[in-house]
Amino acid sequence: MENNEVKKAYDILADEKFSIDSTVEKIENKKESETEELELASTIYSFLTSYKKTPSSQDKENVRAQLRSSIQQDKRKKTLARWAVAASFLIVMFSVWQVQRTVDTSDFDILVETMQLSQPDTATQLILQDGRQVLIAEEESKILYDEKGENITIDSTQKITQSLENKKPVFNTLVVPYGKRTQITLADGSKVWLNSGSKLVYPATNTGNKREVYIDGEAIFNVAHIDNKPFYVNTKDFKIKVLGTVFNVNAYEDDNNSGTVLAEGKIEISSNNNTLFNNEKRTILPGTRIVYNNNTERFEESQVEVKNYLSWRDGYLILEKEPLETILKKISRYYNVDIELQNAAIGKETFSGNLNLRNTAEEVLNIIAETTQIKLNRENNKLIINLN
Amino acid sequence: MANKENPSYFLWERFKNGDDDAFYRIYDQYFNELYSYALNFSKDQDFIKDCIHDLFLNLYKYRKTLSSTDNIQYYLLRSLRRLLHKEGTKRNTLLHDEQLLHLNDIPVVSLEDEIIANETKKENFKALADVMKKLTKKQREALSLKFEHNLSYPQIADTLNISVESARTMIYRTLKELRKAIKKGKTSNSILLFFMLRNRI
Repeated sequence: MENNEVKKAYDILADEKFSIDSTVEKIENKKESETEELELASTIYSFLTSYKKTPSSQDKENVRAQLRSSIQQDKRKKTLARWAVAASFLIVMFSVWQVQRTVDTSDFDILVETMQLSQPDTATQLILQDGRQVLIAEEESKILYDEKGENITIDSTQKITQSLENKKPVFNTLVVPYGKRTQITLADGSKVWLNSGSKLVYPATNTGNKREVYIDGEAIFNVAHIDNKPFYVNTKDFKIKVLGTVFNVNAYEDDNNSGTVLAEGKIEISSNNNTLFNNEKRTILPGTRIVYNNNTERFEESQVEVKNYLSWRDGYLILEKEPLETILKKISRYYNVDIELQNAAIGKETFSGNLNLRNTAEEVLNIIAETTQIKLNRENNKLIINLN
Repeated sequence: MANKENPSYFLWERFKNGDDDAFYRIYDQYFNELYSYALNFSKDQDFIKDCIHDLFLNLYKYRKTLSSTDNIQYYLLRSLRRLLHKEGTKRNTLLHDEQLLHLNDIPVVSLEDEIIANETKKENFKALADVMKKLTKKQREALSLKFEHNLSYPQIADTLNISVESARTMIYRTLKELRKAIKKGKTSNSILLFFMLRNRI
């Protein structure tokens, strides 16, 4: 046991590439300092290994018992399942038939329904070049363009067509209001997930020698790789050149900072503020977050946990030491709920952990309120946050 | 690739072939370690117990299709980690950072009896505990994987999805921080303490 621990202590020393001569404090007795370092290492080692709480044997037994009964249950379920398959087949056949019957009459109904939701800030809108505005009521919707860009499928229930002249580039606009999210597949096969409160202008077709989109808001891009045809993303402050990658762009025009996080591939980012002296162009690699600082007009890079920035697409937020005011802004946009923070000081307090966005805004805020001294009040469709 | 010389290999094979006894033996052998590893991810004991339960239930249900291994510990740690992450996202675990700093899950209590009286060690452990609170989750996990579970750098890198170089650098830097913390409180008891520790083991 002694050899093992001393060896581990040396391991720590070796890791540190320790050399006696480089010790900052001038210690005269060489032997003493070596012993001292050994002791330091030993302390750290014994701390790290005595650190954890061991579970009680009661806990171990409880889980074991639960495991046994779960396995029993599962065995029982398996035998029942065999009988159920035959029955469910019949049910599926029946309901497919039922759906077939209703689908034919509903196209018109859907159109009428969406037309009634004419408030532009509640329904997602797809605006075509000829001026047509298609309204989409679903909270989470999916749009698919065919290769030519002429046929557009929305949530597999709506089908829109537009005529496109061959040579001219045609642009469509997608407006996603607060409280909604959309996923769109462009004519070139690229996929874009748009978060609440975002606007995307994009080419309907796949012609021309470059692909270009404009975004105000937040989106995750999965760009289809096409040789010699780079994909450009424009925001208010910067422009990204892409060859085939996955990345998140956060560029709300009403935010002070905007930036992008690269998950896969490679992108080149340049500032829109290009003067002779400030022609910043940077290439970044996966795992990097790059933020455009409005004040210094420079880019700032940092290494981040990419999944924290992509998680909204799957309906949850991963937060690491994030200030309350930013969290509230994200919640406000995601749910389209007016949130007023009446105490600026608590806005600076930071929080870490997971938030599941399948809950309602109020539930989510209650979770936050539980862990600290904030009070949540509802007033006229607004949620007010204050100090308790 | 699995080393058939290793007894773990056979234990795992027997489990895969339907030996319930082997299955529960694996559970008994690794439960404590998995539990303490899970503490890196959550303070919620019920959540941890649920995840360990789900982990073993899934292993049992799909035992026939699992791959072979001669390192059950490594296999289980990685599987548990994946499960904790997946289930973690379904929960709401948001906590005020101020609170996180105060949560006392660090038992400075479990010191070896003979040394309990020693003030220096207590002080050092407290200083180290304070530094631990300031580390990121990943750093704490890296330390745990190295010193509690004795994983190699390639294994740590693989578990954390980073390069081997990053794993080495991360642990090196974190250890540096810990060293800084206790280097401050040096007293003349240090040499005595060292010999006490050496002789005790």
